[in-house]
Amino acid sequence: MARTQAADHYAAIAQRRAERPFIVRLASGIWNFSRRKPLGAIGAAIVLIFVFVAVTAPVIAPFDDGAQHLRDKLQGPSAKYRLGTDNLGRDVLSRLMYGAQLSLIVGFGAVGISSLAATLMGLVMAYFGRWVDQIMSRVIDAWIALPDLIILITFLGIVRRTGANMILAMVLGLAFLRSATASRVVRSAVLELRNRPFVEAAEAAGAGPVRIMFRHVLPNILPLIIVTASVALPNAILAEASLSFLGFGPEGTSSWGQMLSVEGREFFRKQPGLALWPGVCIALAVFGFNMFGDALRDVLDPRLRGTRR
Amino acid sequence: MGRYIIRRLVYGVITIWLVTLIVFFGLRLIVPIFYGDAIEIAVGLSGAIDDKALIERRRAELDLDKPLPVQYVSWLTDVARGDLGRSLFNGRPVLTEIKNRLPVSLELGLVGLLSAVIIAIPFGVVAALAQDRWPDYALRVYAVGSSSVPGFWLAILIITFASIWWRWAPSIDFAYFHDDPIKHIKIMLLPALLIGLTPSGGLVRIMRSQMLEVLRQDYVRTARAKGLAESVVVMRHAVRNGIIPVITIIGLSLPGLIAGTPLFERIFVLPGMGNYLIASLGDLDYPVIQSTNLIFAILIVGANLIVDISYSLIDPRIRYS
Repeated sequence: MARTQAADHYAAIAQRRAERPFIVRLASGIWNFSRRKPLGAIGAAIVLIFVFVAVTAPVIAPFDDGAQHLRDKLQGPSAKYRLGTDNLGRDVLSRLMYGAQLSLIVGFGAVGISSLAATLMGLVMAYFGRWVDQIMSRVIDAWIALPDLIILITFLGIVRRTGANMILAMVLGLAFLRSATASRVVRSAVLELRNRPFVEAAEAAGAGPVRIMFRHVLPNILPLIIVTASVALPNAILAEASLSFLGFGPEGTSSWGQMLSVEGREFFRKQPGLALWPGVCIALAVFGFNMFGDALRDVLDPRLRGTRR
Repeated sequence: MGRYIIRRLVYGVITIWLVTLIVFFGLRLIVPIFYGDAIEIAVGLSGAIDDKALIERRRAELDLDKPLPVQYVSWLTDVARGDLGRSLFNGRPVLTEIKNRLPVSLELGLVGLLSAVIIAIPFGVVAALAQDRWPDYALRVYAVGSSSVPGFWLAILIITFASIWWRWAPSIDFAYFHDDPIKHIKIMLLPALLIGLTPSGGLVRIMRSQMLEVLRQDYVRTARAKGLAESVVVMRHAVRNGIIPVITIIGLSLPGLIAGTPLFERIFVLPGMGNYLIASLGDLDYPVIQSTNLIFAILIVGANLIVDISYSLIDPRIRYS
């Protein structure tokens, strides 16, 4: 008796909550999230700031990132150049802002494409099972063990000589290497759902495999896909920075990693800010995405706790 | 058990084979779309681009005039015989070059692993002993920080500020251990320490949680109750047991460490495999690119394999499936 009363009570609360206007619900959702996961909230704030800067870089950046002010080479921070200038007189702050753009394009691009590919592969493997699953799983076992960074360096090194679009190459390369890992996660989640009554019911109702996969199974694994993607984002950002640092980034585009590269090293002594700020940006972005991803994982899918990739 | 190891071995070989496929066909399919091929670049650089006979001869040497599958098989048989070919540009045998460079990269990776462990274990123990007091918080911040802060950036910061404040710079002329041990250690110590920093964060976290678990065990309470000194309880009873799972996890970071060596070789100008690969990519030096990728694949797959197998040996609960 007491239990049903309690259940009624909570149901009523839930009812009242659902009736509140969207803005209030959103605000209280954010408030609850930040109280439960303060680090996650800090991470989310950092992520939002980076996304904002990246999107509005052409508007809020004080200068064009490629503009060279040759008279103001290697200056320290001033009112005109907030974080100083580099050896070609380019404004460091503006370059950092445009660098955020590249980081996020590569990060979201690679993770987005690989999530899509991984979802398709995982669905196909788990749903068709049998020999399809057997063969694809074996291929993926080998694929996962590929030496990521080395393959990427080689691939981008070859593409660089051809003059093709390096951003696209970087996104595709990173996506290719991540999709194997992610497809395994999707596959096991779909396998778990496959034998649930609702799938059986849909089959009994005459739904075909494609309809079942996309209308019934996919919506159920969406949170999982989002969580694994958010955990993979910081890795993609770090990979972009490392590759650009090694000289395999896009030319003519500002990149945090490239700003730290060995070619600029002789100028770091004169203007240590050149060595400092790009790294601060990389570390902050990676930290923000890491914290946000961890919190998201705990909230959306506690089963994944302790996995990273 | 035997079957499990054999299966892992087979997967390892398949992965290495996959790498050679990707690199071999990637090179020979993508490059010719834009250039003739590597030979034209090599000959072009030497200024003899009009010497058709020379180009044809060098092409025949590399089998570039034959169909791709034939080229691939002939490369594989050469590799199986231990012949990695010669650089297209300076004609030096790739194998000798790798013999000189591989120890540098391996040393970097292994000493890096060692430094990660040396940092992580005492830190993890201290954090657990001081749970929820400031040393614990400080070390937790360190654990989170080290996984966010890229190691190569720290290296750059150290070099930059050391040269500003103390006028110190890492030596750029390398010395092998058998030639000049002291100089060698001086050169390798900093990069090896820094490369271990990234994985150390995760290890601190694991060591801390292991210690917390062990410190709550009955036998630890017994040890305390019979009047043993706290240091004896911690060192002899707790750490010894807490460390076992950590040791199995340590190996997991080895493949990442090896893959990360090019970054540090680049910063500290070390003659390792990574710098060799990067230089060869600039010239599209087919034999060097293929061989370095093969060696890296063997290293990384091998590291994975050792970790998997040692797991199953140390922890019998892992099912061999």
